[in-house]
Amino acid sequence: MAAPTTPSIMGQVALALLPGAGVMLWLFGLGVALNIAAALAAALAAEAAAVRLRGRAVGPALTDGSTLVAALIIGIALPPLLPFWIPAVAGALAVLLGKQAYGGLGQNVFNPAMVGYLAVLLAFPKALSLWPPPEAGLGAAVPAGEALGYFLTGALPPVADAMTHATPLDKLSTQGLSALAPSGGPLRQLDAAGAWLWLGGAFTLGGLALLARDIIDWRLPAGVLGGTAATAGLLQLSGGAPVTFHLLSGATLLVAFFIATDPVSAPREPGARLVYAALIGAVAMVIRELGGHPDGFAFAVLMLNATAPLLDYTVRQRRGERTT
Amino acid sequence: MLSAVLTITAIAGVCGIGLGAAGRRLASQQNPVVDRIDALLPQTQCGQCGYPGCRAYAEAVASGEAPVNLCTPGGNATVNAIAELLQVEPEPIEEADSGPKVAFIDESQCIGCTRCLPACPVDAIVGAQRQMHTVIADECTGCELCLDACPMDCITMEPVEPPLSSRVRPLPTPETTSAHPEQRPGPLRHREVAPRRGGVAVDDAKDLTRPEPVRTAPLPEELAVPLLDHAGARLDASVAAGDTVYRGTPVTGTPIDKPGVPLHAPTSGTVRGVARRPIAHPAGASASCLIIEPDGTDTPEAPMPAFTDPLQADPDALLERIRDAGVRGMGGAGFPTTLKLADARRSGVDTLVINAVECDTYLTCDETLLRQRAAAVVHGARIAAQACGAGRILAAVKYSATEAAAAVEAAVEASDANIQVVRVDANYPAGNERHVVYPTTGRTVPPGARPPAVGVVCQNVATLDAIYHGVCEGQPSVARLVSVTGGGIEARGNYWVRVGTPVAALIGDAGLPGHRTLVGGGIMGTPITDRRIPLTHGMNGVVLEGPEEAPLDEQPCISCGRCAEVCPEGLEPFEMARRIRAGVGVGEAPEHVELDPMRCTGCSSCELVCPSSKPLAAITGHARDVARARMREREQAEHARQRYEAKQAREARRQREKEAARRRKRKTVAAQAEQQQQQSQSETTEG
Ligand code: SF4
Ligand code: SF4
Ligand code: SF4
Repeated sequence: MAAPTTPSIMGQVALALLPGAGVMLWLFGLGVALNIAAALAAALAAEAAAVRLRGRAVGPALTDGSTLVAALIIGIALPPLLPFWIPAVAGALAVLLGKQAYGGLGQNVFNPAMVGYLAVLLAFPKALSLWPPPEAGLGAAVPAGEALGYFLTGALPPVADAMTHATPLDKLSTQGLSALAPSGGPLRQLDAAGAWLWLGGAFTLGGLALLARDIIDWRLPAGVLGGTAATAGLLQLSGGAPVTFHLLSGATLLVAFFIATDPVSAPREPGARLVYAALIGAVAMVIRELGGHPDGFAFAVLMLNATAPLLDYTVRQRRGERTT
Repeated sequence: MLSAVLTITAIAGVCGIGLGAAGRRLASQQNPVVDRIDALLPQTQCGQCGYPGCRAYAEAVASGEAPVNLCTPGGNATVNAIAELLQVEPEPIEEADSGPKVAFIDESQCIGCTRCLPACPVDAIVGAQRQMHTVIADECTGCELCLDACPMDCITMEPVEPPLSSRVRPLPTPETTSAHPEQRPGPLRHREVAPRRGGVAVDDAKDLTRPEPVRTAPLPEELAVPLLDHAGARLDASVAAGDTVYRGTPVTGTPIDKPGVPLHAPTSGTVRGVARRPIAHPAGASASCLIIEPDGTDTPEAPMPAFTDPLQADPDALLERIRDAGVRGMGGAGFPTTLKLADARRSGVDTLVINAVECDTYLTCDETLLRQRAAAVVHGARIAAQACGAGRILAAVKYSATEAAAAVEAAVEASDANIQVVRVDANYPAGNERHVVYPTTGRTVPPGARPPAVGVVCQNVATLDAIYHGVCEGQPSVARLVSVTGGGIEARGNYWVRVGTPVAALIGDAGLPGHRTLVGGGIMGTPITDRRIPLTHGMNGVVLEGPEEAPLDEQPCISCGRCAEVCPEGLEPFEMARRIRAGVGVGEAPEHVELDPMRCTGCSSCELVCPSSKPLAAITGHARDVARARMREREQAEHARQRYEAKQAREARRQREKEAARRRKRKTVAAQAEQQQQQSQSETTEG
C-alpha cells in the first residue's frame, strides 16, 4: 500500500461518507446537498480566517481534508430542510469552537463536527426537529425548488410544512414504544424503517471500507456497537425498544464508523479506546430511552471526548503498576 | 424545553466533574513551573544572575519579574530551554555562547605563591611553594574564583572542546524543517509502506546499487581520521606533523587503563597535523582529526604476525589482536569489537549470529561483501566464535538477498564449519541486533537488554571480514565498502573507501539543490551539508535524495496511532513528540515507560509510517540528547560537590588540629609559668 498521508486519509474518510450522503440525497432530496455545501463553505471560510489570525500557513490547513470531513458529517447529521444559515453556523462553529480554539487540527479535545451540530441543535431546536418523510427518488419528498427556496429565505413552503414528519426516534421519545407499530400512515413507496435501513447499510459499507484499508481502528466501531447493543438489551428488559431498532436507527452507525473513530478526539491506548467507544454507546442509549432528547449520540460523544485523556492516563497508570 | 435545559445542565455537570478529577490527578504528576525552570538551570549557585541562587532566579522568572536570559553559566542553551518551556521569545545572551572554559596557569609567570590553592573550591590546582602550579583541566569547573587570588594575573580562562556526549541536536519544528529542507532529519520517503505490529513492511531501493560493479574510490588529496573513540571521547595522536606513516601504522596509542582501540593510518603519506573537521553528527558537531597527505604509493606497514591456526588459538590472544587491528563494529555503531566479544565471553554466550540482514532499504554493501568475500567472512565468524567461546554459528541473511545467501552457503560448504544459514524475511528494522536474535535462535531479548543476556552475540559481516584480515593476515582495518546510492546521483554502486576519505572525494558535487545528502543509509542516515565530513568505520552508505524521495512537509499529528503500532520498543512516539515539543518533562525521568526517549533506538520506523511526516525520531533524539547531557552535568556537579566537601572536611580537620595544637601549647606555657611561679615562690621562702 502506498504510504498514506494525512490529506489522503481524510480524503478516504470523505469518500467513505459518500454512499451515506448519496442515500440521504436519494431519500430526502436536494436539501442534503445544500446543507453540505453551506457547512463546507462556512467551515472553510472560518478555517482560513482563524489560521490567518493565528499567523500560520493557510494553504496546508485548508487542504488537510479535516474540514471537508467535518462539513460532510454536519450536512448528513442535520435535517435536510433548513435555511442556509443553520448549516453555515454549524460549519463555522465546528471549526472555530471545535478545532481552532484548541490550536488547530490534532489539538482539539472534542469532535469538531459534533460541536457544530450540537451548537445549532441547542440554538435552533425547532428547525432541527423538522424531518420530511423519507421517500425514494431525488426530490420526491420535497421538490428541489421548494427546498432551495426554504434554504435561501427560511420561509417554510406550505407543502413541506404539511409533510413534516417525525423520525422513528422522535416518535419513540414522544409517544413511547407504540409509535413503532406499523401504522400505515403517510408513507408511500418505502416503509420509513426500510429507508433508515438503507442509510445504515450505506454507512456500514463506508465504514467497512475504512476498516479494510486500515484507516480506522476496529475497536472504536466495535465498542460503540457493543456498548449500544448491551445497554439497549438491558433497557429492553425494562420495556425499551428492541436492540436492532437502536442499532439501525438514527445516528448509531454514523457515529460508530465516522465520529467515534476520529482519532484526534478518541483516547490513544487500545484498552482505553474500547471503554471509550462502549461508553459512547451506553450513554447515548440512556439518553435515548430515559432522557428527553430523541438522539443522544452527540451528547454522548462530547462527554466521552472530555474523558479521553483521563481514560488514557488510567490505562497507562495501570500498566505502569503492573510492570513495576 | 425544560427537559433540554436539565439534560444539558446534568451533562455539563458530569463533564465538569470528569475534567476536574482529570485535572486534579494529572496535576499531581507535573511539577509546578518553578521546579521545571529550576531543573533547567545549571545549579552552579553562582549568583551571576543577581539572585541568591538558582532556585531564587527560577522563582523570579516564573513570576515574570526576571527575564529568561540572566543565567550566564547556562548559556544560550538554557535561555532557549526556558523560553521554550514558557513559550516566550528567547532573548539570547549578549556575549556569544562561548562554551565551557577551564582555568589555565601561565607557568612562565607563576611565582609559586600558593595563593590560588585555597581559592579553588574543588582542589583543581596542584603545586607546592615556589613550584609551578597547574590546573587539572578535568576537575576545573570554570568558576573563575582563582582569577582574583593570583597576584601575578597569570591565570586565564581558556575555552575547552565540549565533549560530543554533551552536544544536543536541535529540536526540529515545522518552520525549521521547511526552511532548511537539506538539513531535515528523517528517512527518505518510500513509496510502499505498511505498518505491522512492531515493524514496517517497506519496499526497498536496493536495486539501485545491487547490479552495479564494485569499484575502488581513488585516494583523496587529504585524509582526515577523526581522533574519537566510540563514546565520542578524544583520542590522542601518537604521531606528529611531518611524520611519515604507512598503511596500517598505528596513529593513536593504546592507553593501558582505557579500553581504547587504536586507529591506523589508512594509507602511506605524511602527517600534516591535527585539525578540526566537521563530522557526521546529528547536532552538526566537529572533531579533531588527524590530517594525512597520501603519497600515492600506498606502501603498507610491516604486517603484524599472522596467526597460523587461529581456530585453536588462545581467546585472549585473539581478543588482543582484534584490538590491535583496530576492528570496530562496521554495522554503524563503531563499538570496539574486542570489547563486545570480551563481554560476550564473560556472559558465557553459546551462539554467534552473523548479521547479514542489512535491513536498511538502500544499502547493499553487506550483501556485496558477502558475494565477494563470503569465505573470509565465514572464517572471521569462526575466529570470533573462538574468541568469545560461542559453540554454534548461525548466519542471518535477508530473504531478498538471494545471491549473498548462496555465496555464504557455498563458503560454508567449502569449509568444514558447521554453520546454518537462516533466511530472515522480516520487516524493518529486522537487522537491529536485538531483532535478529529471535528469527535465528528463537530466543527473545528482553526489552532494554542486549543479545548476550540470552546467550547470543551478533556480528556484522564487514566486522567479521575485518577480523579475518586482522588475525590471519595481520592487516589493520582501514577501509570499508560504502554504498553510494539514492535518486540524486548517477554514479551509484558500492565503493571500497579508505577511512578518513572526505565525502566530497567520493561523490564530488553530485546531488540536487535543496535535496539532502545522508550518510549511513536511507532510513537512519544523518543529513550532512558539509562534504568535508570524513567517512569512518561505521559509515555504510552515502545516500543522495531524489525529488521523489524527499520527505513531505510536516502536517499536524492526527493521533492515528500508526507510529505506536510499529515502534519495536513499544513506545508512543506521537505522545512523546507532543510532550517534547511542548517542553514537558524534557530531560527528566518520564511518567510512563512508553514515554521514555532513552528507550528509543532512533530506528525511525515511526517516521516511515507517519501520515503527517513528522520528524519523530529527531524529536525523541533531541530529548535523549538533553537527558544525556543533563545526566552528565549532574554527574559532574556531584563530582565537584564531593571534591568541595572533601576540601571543606580537610580544612576543618586542619583547623581542629591547629586549634588543638595551640591549646596544647597554651597549656604547656601555662604549666611552665606555674612551675616558674612555684619556683620563684620557693626561692622567696628560701630567701
Ligand atoms: S575550579 Fe575554579 S578556582 Fe579551581 S582552577 Fe577552575 S576556575 Fe580556578
Ligand atoms: S525511532 Fe524510536 S520511537 Fe520511533 S519507532 Fe524507533 S524506537 Fe520507536
Ligand atoms: S505522529 Fe504521525 S503516525 Fe504518530 S499518531 Fe501522529 S500522525 Fe499518526
